[in-house]
Amino acid sequence: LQSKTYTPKNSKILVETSVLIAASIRVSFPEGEIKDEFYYPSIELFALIRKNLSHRLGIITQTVEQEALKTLSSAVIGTLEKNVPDKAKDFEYKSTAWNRCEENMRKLTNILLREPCDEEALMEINDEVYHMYKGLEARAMNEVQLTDQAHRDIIASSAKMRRAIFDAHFLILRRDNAQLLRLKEHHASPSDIKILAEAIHLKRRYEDSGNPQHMLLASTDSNNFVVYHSKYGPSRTVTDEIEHRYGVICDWPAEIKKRF
Amino acid sequence: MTVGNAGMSLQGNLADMTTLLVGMEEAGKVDLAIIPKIDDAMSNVTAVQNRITEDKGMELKANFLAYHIVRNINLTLEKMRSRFVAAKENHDNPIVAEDSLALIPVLAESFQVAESILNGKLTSVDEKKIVSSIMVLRESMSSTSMLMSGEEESKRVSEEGLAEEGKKLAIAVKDLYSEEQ
Repeated sequence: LQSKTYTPKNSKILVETSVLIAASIRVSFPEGEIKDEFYYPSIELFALIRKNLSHRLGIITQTVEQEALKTLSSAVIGTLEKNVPDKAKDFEYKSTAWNRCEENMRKLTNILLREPCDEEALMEINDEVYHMYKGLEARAMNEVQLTDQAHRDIIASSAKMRRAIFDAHFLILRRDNAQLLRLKEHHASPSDIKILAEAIHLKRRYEDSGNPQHMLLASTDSNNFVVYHSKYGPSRTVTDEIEHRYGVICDWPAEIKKRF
Repeated sequence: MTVGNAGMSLQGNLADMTTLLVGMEEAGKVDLAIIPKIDDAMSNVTAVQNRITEDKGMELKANFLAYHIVRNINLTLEKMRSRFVAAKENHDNPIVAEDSLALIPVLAESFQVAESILNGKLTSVDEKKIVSSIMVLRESMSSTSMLMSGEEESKRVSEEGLAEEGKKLAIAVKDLYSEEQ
């Protein structure tokens, strides 16, 4: 795709599970409302999608839909408590909240285009993506080291300053590779791998059908997809690798919205 | 725990309703004789729902999942009842009969899943299977316009209680993602 400008005509936004969940967790009542922490940026992205329904800007896959329903049920089950004073009331509240959020999710998915995926083609891409994450994990283990220049700076510094210069270089190293280092402990799950594989598969399918599209993956998952913001600053090794290898742009919902 | 007579009676209620609905579909006309049958079904479902919440020996997760299924069956029956009552003025005749007929097998199957949980044949190990049957039930409720709206449903509980539950749910989602991240 030649154009670097994102328009609803030349782009597709694949809504990932975390964004669908964030936009669905809202229970409102006359006195106020309770929302997920990423509710506003996620619902604003859905507003952009709704505005561009005719261009079918927002897309979803069966994997995302099923994952989102599974996550919602796990979250409700996670709120169960033993020894509540009134179990009947407690169950009724939980069941009501579950139904409400599921209804919100149903309304949101109704404005997304459900894209089918070819399971056979996916298997191969799935394998590629799995190996990409494994390669990144290996890089995190072996290659995150101070540069030669950093070593030279440390050696050249006075004994008094050496510790401070080492700390400064180490901080930059940690900042730039924070996302990569997190992969060591938080491996991409099979469903995360599958969702990225589906985004790649759909991007390729649009290209093959003569209608190339920018493929944007809207997510709040900063381990495996979007830029990780640590207290030292942003880190995007994994995000950049995905874009460089597959042309899939993973970003936070608010950042995706800004592109249009 | 077992669902006892209420469960048996509910299956009977659903069978009676099916017979009436087939007649309505053939005649192309709603028959309000179905209302007492729905009322009977609702009182049997409510009895099961109460037994679930009174049970003290059952595992909490399985107990709640069975409750959620049974409560959704009850909500469906309530919505069905209100559609039959207002069928004439809403020009819902005979669509409500067709929708109900399509939904009854799903209600029966869902009730069987709840029964299997209650008699221990399905446990929380089978969570995936149970949750997917809940999704089938909710999807069928939606596609047959038998889904009670969230606002309507929320009117039955106190705002404070629901707000508290909303908070807990938002925290649980955050926890789920932090476990992963």
